[in-house]
Amino acid sequence: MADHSTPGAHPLAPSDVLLEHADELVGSTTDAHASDGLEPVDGPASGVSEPSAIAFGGDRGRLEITQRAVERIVEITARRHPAVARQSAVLGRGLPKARAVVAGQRVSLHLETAITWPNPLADTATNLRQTITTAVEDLTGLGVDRADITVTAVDASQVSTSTAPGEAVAAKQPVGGPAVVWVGFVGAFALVLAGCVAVREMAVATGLTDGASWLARGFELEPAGWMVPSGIFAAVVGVLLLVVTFKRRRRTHHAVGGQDGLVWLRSADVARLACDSARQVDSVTAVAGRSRRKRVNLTVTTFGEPSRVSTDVTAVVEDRLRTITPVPQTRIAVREE
Amino acid sequence: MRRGVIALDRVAGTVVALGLLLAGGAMLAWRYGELPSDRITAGPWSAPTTAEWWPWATGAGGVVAILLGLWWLARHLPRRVGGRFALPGGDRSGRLTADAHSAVDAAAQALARTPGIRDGSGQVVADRGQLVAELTCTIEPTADLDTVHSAAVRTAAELATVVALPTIHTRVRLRVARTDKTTPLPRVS
Repeated sequence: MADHSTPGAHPLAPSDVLLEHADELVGSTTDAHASDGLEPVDGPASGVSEPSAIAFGGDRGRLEITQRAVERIVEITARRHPAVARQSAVLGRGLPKARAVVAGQRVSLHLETAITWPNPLADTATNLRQTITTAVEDLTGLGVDRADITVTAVDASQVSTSTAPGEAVAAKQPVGGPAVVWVGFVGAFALVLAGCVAVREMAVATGLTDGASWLARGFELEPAGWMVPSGIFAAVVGVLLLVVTFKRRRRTHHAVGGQDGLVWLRSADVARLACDSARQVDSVTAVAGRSRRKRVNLTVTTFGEPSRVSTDVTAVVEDRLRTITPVPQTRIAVREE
Repeated sequence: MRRGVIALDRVAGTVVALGLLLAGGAMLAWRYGELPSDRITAGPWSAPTTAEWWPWATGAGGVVAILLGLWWLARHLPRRVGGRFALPGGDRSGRLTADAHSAVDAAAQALARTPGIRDGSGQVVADRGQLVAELTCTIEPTADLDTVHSAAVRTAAELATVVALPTIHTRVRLRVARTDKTTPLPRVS
């Protein structure tokens, strides 16, 4: 990667990182020949077991940057980014997690990380790529050919309000499953059954199973009395099947809060809200309710005056459900204790 | 569920329904003498069942039918959307990818911090040709719907900024808990 410029929101002071985490980078630099008295060499030493970048400085010694050192630099840099959330390895995969491939003086990076809500994924990933690229190039002198960023988790444990929220596009209204899937289930089972019959025919024909062939049997038909009810039954089933096949999906939810179509509530939940509201009315001791899409039926048990309780419950429930669309009609049945 | 399998179900249902209507009409017409034939005789067939190709044909046909039936059944299973998607800004210098399921789930958890919302979860689903970020939240029976709605709209807008995918749609499903778990207000203060 050729761009060595520091991003505007660079969270990292590279020298600080190295000083603070010098112990974590043990093994990243080695003076291989100063301590053992060997002569300095101008080529790679034999027996190098892992990918590393080796700079030969003649008689001044040798600098070897291991793959693990590059990975640690990337991880520590990522951890210091303000939008990155650190995830403990105890509860799952430890994040951020880096992989580096070092080949000569060039390196390829891959970083998996978690970010905090509500930082934009694309902007954060772009900034993070710039940050780790700059850090690796500044601290190691290696050139970064490629830096892949994968945001695998978003942490909502520390929520702050975003400054510039966008505009959400509402999905289609939730509906129930299509009735025709039952036709599909029956058809699929029938196909499997037909396949089993055919395999049985093979078994009979090859002598694997005793018995006679079912498919070789003939039949003889002539007009009979049973054909009238059977014909009517078949025609009725055919018409019902056509109705089921082309039946539209049932609407199962009520819209909450107007026509934006973002928030939806099931009919059963509408009944629960209505019951909760009815319980708050004076003299009411118990409430049971059921709801369909266009109607809420409540059975209210009370020791109070029935007409007053019915009026109060109706008013409270209608007020509670005024924000949902379509507004269900409320029916109250009062039961005196 | 995929739209293709629903279309297949509809085609199968139509064919079977028309077949039943035809068979029913034919039985009635035949019973009342509207068809010319007085008797239908078929088989028994011995030639094909004793032929050399019969076991192979029935065996192969049976296996194909069983596999097709199982495939048809499997296509009815709920479709799981892979949450990993490419972010804009990826180029030769590196790919940028993110898990949309995590972002949507985080949005639901952020929404669950609203008073009156007990918990939330989220995922990306495919629904009738749309890619939908679906947030499912459980609210208390005493929750104020206006407050919940305002918070949901705000969170959906934040999610649109965070994910920034033009193809993604948003839906918030609310479920009402059976019992209220909010801390009751003290009767005496």
